[in-house]
Amino acid sequence: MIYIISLVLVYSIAAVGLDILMGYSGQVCFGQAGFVAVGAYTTAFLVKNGFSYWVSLPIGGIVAALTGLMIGLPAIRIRGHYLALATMSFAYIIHLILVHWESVTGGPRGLIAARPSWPFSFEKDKYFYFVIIFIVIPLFIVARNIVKSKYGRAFLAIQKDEIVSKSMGINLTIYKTLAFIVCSFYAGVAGGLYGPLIGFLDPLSFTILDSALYIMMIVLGGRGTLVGAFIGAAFFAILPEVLREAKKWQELAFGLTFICFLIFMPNGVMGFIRRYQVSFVEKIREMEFLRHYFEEK
Amino acid sequence: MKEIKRFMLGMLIILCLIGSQGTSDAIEVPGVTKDTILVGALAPLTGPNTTSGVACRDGAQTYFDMINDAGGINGRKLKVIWEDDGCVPAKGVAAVKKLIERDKVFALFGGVCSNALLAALPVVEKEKILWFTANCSSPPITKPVKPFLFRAGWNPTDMQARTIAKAGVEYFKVKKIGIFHMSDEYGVYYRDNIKKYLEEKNVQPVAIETCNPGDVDFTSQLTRLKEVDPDVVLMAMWIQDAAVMIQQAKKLGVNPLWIGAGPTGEEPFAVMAGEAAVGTIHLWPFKYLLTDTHVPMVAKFREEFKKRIGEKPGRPSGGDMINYNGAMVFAEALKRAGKNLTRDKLVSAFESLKNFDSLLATPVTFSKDEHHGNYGINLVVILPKLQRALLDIKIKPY
Amino acid sequence: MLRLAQLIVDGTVLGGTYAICALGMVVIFKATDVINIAQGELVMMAAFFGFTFRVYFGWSFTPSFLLAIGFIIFLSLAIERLALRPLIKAPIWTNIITTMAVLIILQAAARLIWGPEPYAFPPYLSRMPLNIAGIRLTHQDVAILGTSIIYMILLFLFFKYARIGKGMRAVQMDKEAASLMGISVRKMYSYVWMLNAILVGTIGILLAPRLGVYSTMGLLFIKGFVVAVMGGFTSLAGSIVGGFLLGVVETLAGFYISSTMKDIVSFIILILILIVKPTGLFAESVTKRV
Repeated sequence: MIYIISLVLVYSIAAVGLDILMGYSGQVCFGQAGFVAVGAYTTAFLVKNGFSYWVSLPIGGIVAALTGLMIGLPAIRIRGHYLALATMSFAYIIHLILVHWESVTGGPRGLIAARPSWPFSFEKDKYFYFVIIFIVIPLFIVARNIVKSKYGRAFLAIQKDEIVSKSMGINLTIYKTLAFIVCSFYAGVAGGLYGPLIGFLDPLSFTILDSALYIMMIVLGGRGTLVGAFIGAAFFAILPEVLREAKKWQELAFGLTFICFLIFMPNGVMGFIRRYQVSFVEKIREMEFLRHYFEEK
Repeated sequence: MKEIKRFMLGMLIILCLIGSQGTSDAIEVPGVTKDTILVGALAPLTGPNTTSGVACRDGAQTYFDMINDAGGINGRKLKVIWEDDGCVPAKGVAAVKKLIERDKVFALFGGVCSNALLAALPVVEKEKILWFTANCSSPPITKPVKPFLFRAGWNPTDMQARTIAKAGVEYFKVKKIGIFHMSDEYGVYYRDNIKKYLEEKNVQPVAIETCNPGDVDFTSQLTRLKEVDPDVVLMAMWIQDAAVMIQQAKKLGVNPLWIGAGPTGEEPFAVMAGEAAVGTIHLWPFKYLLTDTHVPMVAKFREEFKKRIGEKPGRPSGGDMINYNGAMVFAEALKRAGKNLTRDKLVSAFESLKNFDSLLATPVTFSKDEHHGNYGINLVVILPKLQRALLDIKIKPY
Repeated sequence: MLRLAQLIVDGTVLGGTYAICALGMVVIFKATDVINIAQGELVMMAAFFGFTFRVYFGWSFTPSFLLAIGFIIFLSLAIERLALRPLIKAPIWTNIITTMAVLIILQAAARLIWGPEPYAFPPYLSRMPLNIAGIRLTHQDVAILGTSIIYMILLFLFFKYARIGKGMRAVQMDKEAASLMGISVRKMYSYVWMLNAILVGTIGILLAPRLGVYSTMGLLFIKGFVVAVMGGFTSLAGSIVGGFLLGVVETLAGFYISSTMKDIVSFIILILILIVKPTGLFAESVTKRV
C-alpha cells in the first residue's frame, strides 16, 4: 500500500507537469509518456554505469527537459489536433528508439532500474517512499509558485487568446517553449523515480496509450488546477487495485466509473468542488448577512 | 500562499504517518494453516494477453481442484488466489506485493509475461518466496539460477529458437533460411538466438524481417521475402498477426516452409489462417496432441477440464494443458516437502525432483544448479481440415 | 515495375480502409467538435456483431452484414445519447476523454461477452487470388477497395444533395445560425453518429475475414486519426487523399527501406507535412499568423 501511494505520487508529478502544459498554457501533448521514458531510461542507464542515483535523477530530468525543448520549439506554430498528432509522433518515435536502440535501452528485454544504495540501501519500499515524498512535495510547491507567478498568468493568457497575448507583449516563443520545458522536466523526474519504484523498465510501459493516460488524469482531476493532477493520478493508480475484487468485471467497472466521473463532473473533480465551494461560500455569506441583519434589529 | 503551505505541510505529515506504520511481524510460516495452503497465482487476466492468462488460470485450477477433491496435499487443501498482472510490470509488481503483504501467501505460481515476472523478482528474492512458472519463457529466469525461481513447461526462448533453427538446417537441410520476427521481447530473443545458431553453422540468413505486434499489413516484408525466395522461414509471431501474414503470403505467392514458434502451434492459428496454414510446422511442448484421447493422461485432463471449466472450440488449448502440467509439478513438490511445510523445505523439495514424469510432457528434473525442469520440445505439422500430426524428430537444441 | 505496381495496389487497398475511418472521424468532428477516439473500437464491435450472426447463428452473409450495421448504429446512437449529449456544454477535452473512456468500455465489454481469444471470420468471397495483369489481388481486396470508393462517392453526393447532408454541413459551418434556420442541432448530432456507424461498420465486417476478430483490433485504427490530421481535419477530400497516400507510402517505405522503418517513415512524412503545411494537406485555411 506504501507501494501504491508511491505510484500515485510518481504519476502525479508527471501529471502536474502535463497540467502546466495543457491546463495552463493550453498546448496539447500526447507525448508525456515519451518524456517520462527519457527520464526513466537516462537515470537507469547512468546508475547502471556507476553514477550515483542522486546525480542521475536530476540529469534524467534535465535530459528530458532538453527533449522538451526540442519538441517545444518547433511546436509553437502548431495547434490543436495537429499538435496532438505531432506530439503523438514524438511519443511513437521515442517508443521506437526504446525498442531498437538495444545497446543502451536493452530493447524489448528491458532495463533494470536500481534503487539508490548510498548512504544506505533503499531497497525497502518504505525508505524509497520517503525519497519520493521529499522530491514530489517540493516539486509540487514549485509548480504552485510557477503557476501563481507571472509565468502562470502568461500561460493562461496564451491559452485564452494567443493573438491578444502577443499584442500585450508576451513573447509566445519563450513562454510556450518554457511550458514544454517545465512539463518535460517534471515528467523526466517522475520517470527517474518510476524506474526504481517498479524495478524494471520496458518499452511497453511507454506507449501512446500511456501518454493518453496522463491526459485522462488531468481531465478527470480538473484541468488547470494542479491539485487535480494528484486526484487524477490517485484515481488511475488506486481504482484498478480496488477493483481487483471485481475479477473479470474489473475493466468494465473501471471504464464505467471513469465515464460516470466525466459525465457528472465535466470540469473535473476540482472543477466540481470549486463550483460547490463557491455556492457553499455564498451560502455562508448569505447566512452571515441574514444573521447580522436580524441582530441589528 | 499561506493556505497552500499549510495544506502541503498537512499532506507531508499525513504521508509521513502513513509511511511510518510498522510492518507486521512475520508469521511462523505464512500461508500455511492446519488445513490449508495459501498459494498466490498470477496471470494476465485483463488486457491484450488475456487468452494466455485465462488458459494459465483455467488449466492450473483444473488440476488444483482435482487434487483438492481427492483430499488435498498431505491433508491440506490448496487455496489459490489469482491476481491479474495485465502483462505490465507495474501491475505485476503490485499484484505480487498484494499477495505477499496482504494475503500472506506461502508460494507463488504462474505468470505468463516474463517482463512482469522479472520486474517482481527483487520482491520475491527479498521475501524468499518461491515462484514456479510454466509459461514465462525468458532465459534470464533460470540462467543464471535464481534460488527461488523454478520453471517447467515451455522451454526457455533461446532453446525454442535453436530448436526451430536446427530443424531447418539439420533436419530439412535447406540452404536459404529467412527469419520473420516480432519486435517484442519474445521475437527479439528468437532472432538473436537463431542468428547465433546459424553463425555456429556458418549459415547466413537470407532475410530478417520484423513486424510489430498488431500490424495488419505485411506486404512490404513479404515482397522482400519473395525477392530472396527462402526455402524455410522461421517465424516468431503472435497468433493473429501470423494468421494475417500467412494468408497475405499465400496471396502474394510467397511459399517457403514456415516453421513457427510456440504461439502459432495453438489451434486458433490454424483456424484463423485456414488453408494457408496447411503444411506449416510449429513448436509443441508435449509428447501428445490434445486429440490423443487414447492416452490416459490426456483423456483425464480433457475430462477434468470439461467437468470444471467446460469445452469450447479451441479449449482446452495447449496453454491450458501446460499449466495443468505445471500445477502437477508444483503439487508434487508441495507433497514432497512434507507435513511440516516451510518455504525452505519447498525449495529443497523442488530441487529433489528427478525425472518426475507427468506422463504429458518430458520428465522434470531439478537440482541446485538447474532450475529449469524439462528440456526438449516437439514439432507439430498442420494438416488439412484442422488436423495435425506430431513430427517424429528429436531435436537437441544445444 | 510489376513489383512496384503490386506494392502500390496493396497500399491503396490498405489506404482505402484508413480513409474511411478518417472520413468518419472528420464528419463527426466537423459537426460536433468531438474527436472520436473510440473509432477503432466501433470497427471492432462491428466485426464481433458480424461474427456472432454469421458464425454463432450461422446466417448467411447479407443478413449478418445488415443486422451488424444495425447494431452498430444502435450502439453509436447510445454512445452519442448517453455519453456525449450530457456533455454538450462541457469543455471539449472532457468530450474527447469521454470517447477514450468509451474505448475502454467497449474493449472490456467485448472481452466479457466474447472472450479474449481471436476468432476467425469466414470469407464471403472466394479466397483464391485474382491475377489482373500480373498483379495479385484477392476478391476481398477488391471488395474493400470498391466499397471504399463507392462510399466516398455516396458521401459526396449525400453532402451535396441530400437534405440531411446539407443540414450536417450547415451545423458544421455555424451551429447557431443553423439552429436559427430551424435545423435541429441535436438531431444532426445523432445523424452524424449514425453516418459514422455505417462507415465503420462496413469496414469492420469487410476486414474481419482478413484480420480475424479480436478485442484489441481497434488499436489498428489509430492510423485513421493520423490520416484525418494529415488531410487537415476539416476536409473530407483530405482524408481520402491522405488515406491512400499513407497506405501507399507505408507499404513502399516498408519495402524499399526496411520493415522497422516502415512506421517511422510514416510518422516522419507526417511531421514533414505538418511543418510545411501546419493545417494539413487540404485544410480550409484559417489564417492566424501570430
